[in-house]
Amino acid sequence: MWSYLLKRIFATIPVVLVVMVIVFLMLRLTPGDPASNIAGDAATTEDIAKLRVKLGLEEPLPVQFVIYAKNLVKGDFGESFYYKRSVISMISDSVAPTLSLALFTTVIACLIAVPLGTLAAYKHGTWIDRVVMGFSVIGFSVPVFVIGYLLIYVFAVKLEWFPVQGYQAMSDGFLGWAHRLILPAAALSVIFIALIARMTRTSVLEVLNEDYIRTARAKGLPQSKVLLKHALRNAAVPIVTIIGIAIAILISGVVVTESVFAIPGLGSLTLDAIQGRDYPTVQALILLFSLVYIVINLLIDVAYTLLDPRIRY
Amino acid sequence: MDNPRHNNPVLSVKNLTIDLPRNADRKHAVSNVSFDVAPGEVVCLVGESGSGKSVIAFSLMGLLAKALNVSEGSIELQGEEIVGCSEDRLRQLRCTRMGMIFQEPMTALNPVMRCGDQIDEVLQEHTDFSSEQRHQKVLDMIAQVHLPDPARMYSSYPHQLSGGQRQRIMIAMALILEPVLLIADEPTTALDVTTQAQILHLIRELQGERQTGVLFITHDFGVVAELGDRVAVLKQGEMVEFGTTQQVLASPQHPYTQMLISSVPKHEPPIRKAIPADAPTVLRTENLHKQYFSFSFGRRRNVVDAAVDISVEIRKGETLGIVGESGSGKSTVARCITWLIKSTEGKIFLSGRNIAELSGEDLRQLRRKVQIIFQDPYRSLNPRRTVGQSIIEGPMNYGESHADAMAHARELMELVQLSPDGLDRYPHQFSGGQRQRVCIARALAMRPELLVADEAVSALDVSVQAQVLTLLEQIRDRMQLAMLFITHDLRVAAQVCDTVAVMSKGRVVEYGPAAELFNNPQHEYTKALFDAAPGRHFKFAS
Repeated sequence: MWSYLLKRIFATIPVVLVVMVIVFLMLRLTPGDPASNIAGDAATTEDIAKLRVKLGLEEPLPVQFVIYAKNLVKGDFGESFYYKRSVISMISDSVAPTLSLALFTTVIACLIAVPLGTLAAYKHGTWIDRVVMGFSVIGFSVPVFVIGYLLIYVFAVKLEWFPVQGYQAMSDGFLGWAHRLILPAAALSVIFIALIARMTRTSVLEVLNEDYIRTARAKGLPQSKVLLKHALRNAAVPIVTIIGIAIAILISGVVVTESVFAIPGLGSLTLDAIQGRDYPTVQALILLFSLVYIVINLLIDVAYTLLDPRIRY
Repeated sequence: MDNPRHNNPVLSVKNLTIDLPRNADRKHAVSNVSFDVAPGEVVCLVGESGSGKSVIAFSLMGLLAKALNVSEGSIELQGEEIVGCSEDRLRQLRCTRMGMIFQEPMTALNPVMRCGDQIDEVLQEHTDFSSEQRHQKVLDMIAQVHLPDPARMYSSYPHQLSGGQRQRIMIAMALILEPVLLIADEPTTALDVTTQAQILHLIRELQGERQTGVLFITHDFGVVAELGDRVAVLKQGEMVEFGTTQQVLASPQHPYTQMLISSVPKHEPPIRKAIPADAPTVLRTENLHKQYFSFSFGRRRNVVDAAVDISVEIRKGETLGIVGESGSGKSTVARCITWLIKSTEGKIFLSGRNIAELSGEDLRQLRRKVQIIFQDPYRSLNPRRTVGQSIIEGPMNYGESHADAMAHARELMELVQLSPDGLDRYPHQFSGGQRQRVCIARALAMRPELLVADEAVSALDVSVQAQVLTLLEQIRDRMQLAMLFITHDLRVAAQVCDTVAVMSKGRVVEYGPAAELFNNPQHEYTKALFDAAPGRHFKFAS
């Protein structure tokens, strides 16, 4: 197990390197001087000259890459000319809201989708199945911002149960934190409920036809145990995969939801950075999102070995 | 039937009728079937696929598919009516009074749960034992099914055990609460012959000790002869004959039973025409060797010798049988010869030319000379192509015109005794035996020199099997083909092979003319294999 984990972690190193190279080249290959791009429109010639030295732009490309990598390792992602702050501090400020939102959404989505999908599989072909699958189609097709504004209109404006917008850090009170996250998480979770429920249904349905389900029934187990202990556990691998992918999409794809609900997270930061042509921040965000994908993939692979004893690498 | 225990049967089935869904090819899956099982007795239900034997087994357990339902008749378990009883009551009865084991030990156990826990689940559900008591009882039961090292077996996952071991776990699970009835649905069909003999012996032993009534479902008359006290013969849902094993097998009354029994291949090879001494050699292998290995960090690891030092020869018009159990390497040899995989070492001569190192166009030209028929006719034909398209695809790849290929395909359909009109139909419109005939026609369409049959009749019912074997023989004689016949079934090999090579653990342990080998086996393994064949000593009606 540990050797597998180590091997798997080692295997991510080349991927991280490739991402770093791409992000590095991105700026070097854009037309114009990288230093003046990074420094922004308002920079003085002096600023640019300083930056050129710092980035080592007079050196050949491989040397520049080494300098760039060294800075990354030190946690130095450069400085945003837009906000006049270090990129790393901006990102660390925005990570908490986004992570909160992503986790909240994932929990809601899983809690609803997995039982719903299992139920649909168990009641395969009945009206329950059709209702669940019908909901799933709608969930896929309605855009997040429509659901978001709809929820705001009903629950915030009309019923006044929840605030319209805003975010509160967990350190300022858990209830306030949760209270403000419920609506955005609900809006965001709809598509993931649809996705995960569908995958759960397909996966459980397949497993329900397996011989060992028949064996479990022949033992005299009640349906609930057959479903939960035997079917769901065996159906777990594809479900966990889709949940993992969902989390990755969530973290890197909350742009719309965050702007609808005015949450100061990574999504908002990304949007601002792109609009402000804030290269250092964009670079850092791309790197961060890639890392999220890599780490989540790693976690999914590790989860496989825990879920299915037959999987050994 | 004057035995007093028959007066208190553990299972009594009367006039059982089970309906099929409306659009099925017949009205009833089972119609008007009656039989009973006494304590300590083994009753065999025997029949071909579609005879309804498994449907009966599942109806007893209350595990019928939703589309099927019992429309008439009664099933009494120790006097208690099961038909129409509640799902809760059925659940209480399962494993406590009736246990069941299934055909596929490979898939019948939950792959993500430890074997011991799976047995333990039965106790958790049906008893109030403490967890220590349960643990001890499971270990005892694992020991009783003669598995080595019960503690290790307890904590093993199914994939870590062999097929036979898994079936033992299934048996332990089914019998741990000492049910009065054990329903065994083809429990040894998927196992090797030596493993099968051990499992049959185990079932006999445990049911004898506990006086368990056994309903044993099988298609194999050898197994019936070995195990059954009484036997019921089913044909398309109807019971055509029911009596003691001796009566039914030695003097069958119903023509269907007679036909089935006469289709069972005999253990003794028939007298065959000798292959002329001057017949040219089509295939010869010299020290053929196939090795599998996995790489880890660039180093070779887990080297497996799948086939070692295989030197065999087939002449024109001759059939060489390679016989062995699963994992013996017999299919590996077939795949090397047909170039589905590349051999590691050694030489393969086809009509005098070494083909072991071919590549590119040479290899492509070779492919039409060696053709193969696979085991499963349901999966070896593309379901989205008509049979005709499948047959002519090969020849057309080698430049034959559509018209020529079609004309040839028509001839071949007649040769395999199918109507040429069938060329426009799709595989699902044919039965299993017919599909295998199509597969044979497809192979022959390439005008091969060597025909390889890899377990080509293993998936077929015994009566169909007999027909396909006869067909293969006729074709070989008529076209003077060289044939390589891979099988696990000694009886089948005895019927069609001129020469037989017995393989074990990748090596040929015995090789010689079929008649000699069958009548006077030399190697220990061959002898063990012959001894394990079920019903070998039973005198069947002929």
